Order: sequence, then structure tokens, then C-alpha cells
Amino acid sequence: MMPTSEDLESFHERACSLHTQLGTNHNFARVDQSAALAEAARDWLKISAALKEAVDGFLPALEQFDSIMAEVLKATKQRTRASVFRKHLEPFKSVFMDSVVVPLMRYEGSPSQAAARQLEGVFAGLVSTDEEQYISEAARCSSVRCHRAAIVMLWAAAIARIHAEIQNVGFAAYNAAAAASVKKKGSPFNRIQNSINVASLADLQLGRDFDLIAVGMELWGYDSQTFDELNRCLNIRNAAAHPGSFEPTSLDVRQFAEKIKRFIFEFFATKRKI
Amino acid sequence: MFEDAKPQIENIVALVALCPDKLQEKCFELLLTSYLQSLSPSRPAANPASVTPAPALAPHEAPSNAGASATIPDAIKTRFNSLVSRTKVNGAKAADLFDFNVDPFTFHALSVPGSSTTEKMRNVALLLALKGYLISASWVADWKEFRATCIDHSCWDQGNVAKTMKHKWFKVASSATDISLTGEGIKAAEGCFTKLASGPDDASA
Repeated sequence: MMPTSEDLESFHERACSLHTQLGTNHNFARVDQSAALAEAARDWLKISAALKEAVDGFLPALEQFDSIMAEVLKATKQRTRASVFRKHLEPFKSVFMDSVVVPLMRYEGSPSQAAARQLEGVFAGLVSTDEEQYISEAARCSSVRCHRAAIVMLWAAAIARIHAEIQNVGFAAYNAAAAASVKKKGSPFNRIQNSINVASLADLQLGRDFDLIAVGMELWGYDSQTFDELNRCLNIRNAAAHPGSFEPTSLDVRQFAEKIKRFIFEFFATKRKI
Repeated sequence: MFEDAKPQIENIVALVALCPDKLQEKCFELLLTSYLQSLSPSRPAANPASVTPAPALAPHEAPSNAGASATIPDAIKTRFNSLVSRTKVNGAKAADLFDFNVDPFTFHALSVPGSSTTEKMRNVALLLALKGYLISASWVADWKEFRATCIDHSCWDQGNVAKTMKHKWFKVASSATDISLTGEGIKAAEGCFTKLASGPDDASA
């Protein structure tokens, strides 16, 4: 998980506090001070590695602080004077905030990162832990302007919910609804395939998404306009998942998210309350 | 709609009378078409190179820069136009406050109004909530975007931010809850937007 600017701020405070606790004398650092410094150094190296992985090298100043903390860690293995540690920690006190924390704050506050957080916020309190993973992945995709991938992931969350709801009502009920749907005439019922005799989640996963949303009209009683909206979402998902000229923007992703929130997640949430 | 049409048509008829009989009908048709086109708000503006049509604007507005406002994304156009109509600002100038060519769209080289850090911080929150309204129809600003924008405009005051944001304009404002505007806050945000869209010197730096 990527460290936040809050994590870095608290690390900054910790480094400043360690610097102050070392005092102003030239004595050797106490054992407890050395232990605390070693722990801070190890923590920093972990934070730095996670940051480098997430922010893709936009914080070049990290290298400087990595070297410092490597030196601190090395120095804690032997008797070292407090003044040496103080000298090592000085850049944390003087330049860490401006060269690491503030750039990270700017990165976190960039419109694309804000849009990604807001995308996750759309589904707050409406999704399960499993579905949340797809939403988080969609948000991460959107934050790096991979909007087609974000749409695919959002649709995956929607289908995961439909699968869960089918398991909730039971495969027998789904099969019965599918059989009843197939008997109906006209579109979209005449386009349903392979929907009967689902006996496991694996069968559902092998089926077509179109069949699920069409059978849903019979199974959950939503109207044809809801089906049309869901079918439009499915078409957008298909356009995003296959080669073509479709180039969605973050606003398109947001609209897509709002639709699946309304027609899938809120629909089932309301149904449960009833 | 056609209050001013009578004198114009009389002029057209007078001009048509100067033409040979055979051409009078065609002449009338051409002059009338030309007159009706001159009434259309989507006629080319001052910049003849601009071929993109202007978006639907409030009736009282005459778009002065159709090219800039034409880039407003469809997803926000309705809310943008209703905001422009409510605040009675020039649509093109209002559109120029944003950079719609970047994804996600954002404010373009904005100079945040305010004479003190406190005032500027609040105005940043108002403007970001206004952007949030355009995106999602809720007057909400992301806290981290607010902080980063304040840092960019040199008005971030970590020590006083909590006190500053405890104001009648904000329902909630913290890192945990983001920033949500009250009714008064929405009015203030629209006021801030009007100020920026009206004053050409204040809007861009």
C-alpha cells in the first residue's frame, strides 16, 4: 500500500523528535536511542521502497534520504556519537518537508488522483470486500489515465454483484427465471443463450453477461429501461475491452460508475431493504 | 422573437423593389435568409477561423469566444450552462476559466481571489467545490486537492486550516470528510465564480 503524505508527515515529526532527543552533547548515543534510530531507519527504507513503487520515480529526493537512513542503520550497529546521528538526521529536519512531503501532497492533490478517490467514493458503503477490490483497481487505472481499463474493472464489480445476488437467490431460481425468459418472444429475450442449468459459480462465470442482465428482468423484476441502461453499460464495457477508437475520459468513467451504482448496487441495496 | 423584424423586412422589400422583376423573388429569399441567419446566436464570432459551434448559452448572452466554450465536455455541459445562466456571466469567459483539454479538466491558470491567506483558502475550497458540482452535481471538494491547490497558491496554513474552515459556508471540512458546502457556501462559490468570470484581469495570471 502506498504511504500517504500523512504517513510522511508523521515520519517527519518522528525524525525531528529523534533529532531533538539526541541532545546537543557529544556523548555516545544511548542504547535506547540507537534502537529507536535503527527502527526509524528500517521504517524509512520500507516507506521509501513503497513510495518508489507507487509514484514511478517522481520523487528523486528519496535517494538522498535512503542513503542517509542506510548510514544511520549502519551506525547503530556500533557505538556512535549522538552528534554523528544528529548530523545524519539534519536533512530530515531541514529539507525533507519541502523535497518529499510537499511534492507528495501535490501529487495526491492532482486532479487525476482526486478523480480516482472520488470514483471510489461513489461506491462507499455499497460494495462488498470482493467488489471493492475491482473498484479500487478501477480507481488506480483511472488515476493513471487508463480509462478503458477502469471501465472494464467497474463492470467486473457489477458482474461480481450480479453473481453474488444469483447465489443469494439460488441457482434453481435463476434457472427457472432463465427458462421463463427464453420462452418470451421478442428482443432481448430471443437473444438469451446458454442460461439454463447453471449449477455453480463457474457456470455463471462462463456465461454471457448479456444473458445475466436479460434474465435479471424476470429474476429481480426490473423494467426494460433498466435493462436498456445495463445493456448500454455492457456495450461501453465491450467497446473499452476490445480494440477500436473508443477513448473514454475520466468524466466518461465517472458517468459509467454512476450508472452501475444506480442500476446495480443501489438497486440491490434497495431490494434488500424491501 | 420578431419584434425588430418589421423594419428589417420593410428594408428588404425596398431593396427587392430595386431588382428586375424576374430576380425579385430570389432576391427576397436571399435577403430574408441572410437576415434570419444574422439573428442566430451560433453565427461565427469575431474569429472567423473558428468553425466549432458555440454551446447552448443563456438567451441574454452573446458568445464572444465560441472556440473556447465549444470544448466543454458533454457530460458537464448541462450543469455548466445552468451555472452560467444562474450567475449571468459570459459563457465563453466562464469556459475560459477552465482547461477542458486536460483530463480530468481543471482550472486554467487561476488567480485565487482574496486579500488574506484565510480568504484565499476558503475561496480555493469554494472553487474546487464548484468544479465538483460540474463533475458530479454535488458541491463537494476533495480535501487533498484543496490542500495541494492551496500549496500551489501559497495560501496553505496547516496550523489554522481547521479554524479557517469552520465557517458558515462549509457543512463539513476535514481530511476525513472532504469539503461540503452549505447553501450559503454555494451562493458564495457562485459569487466567486462570477467575480472571476467577470473580471478579465483577475481570472488569469
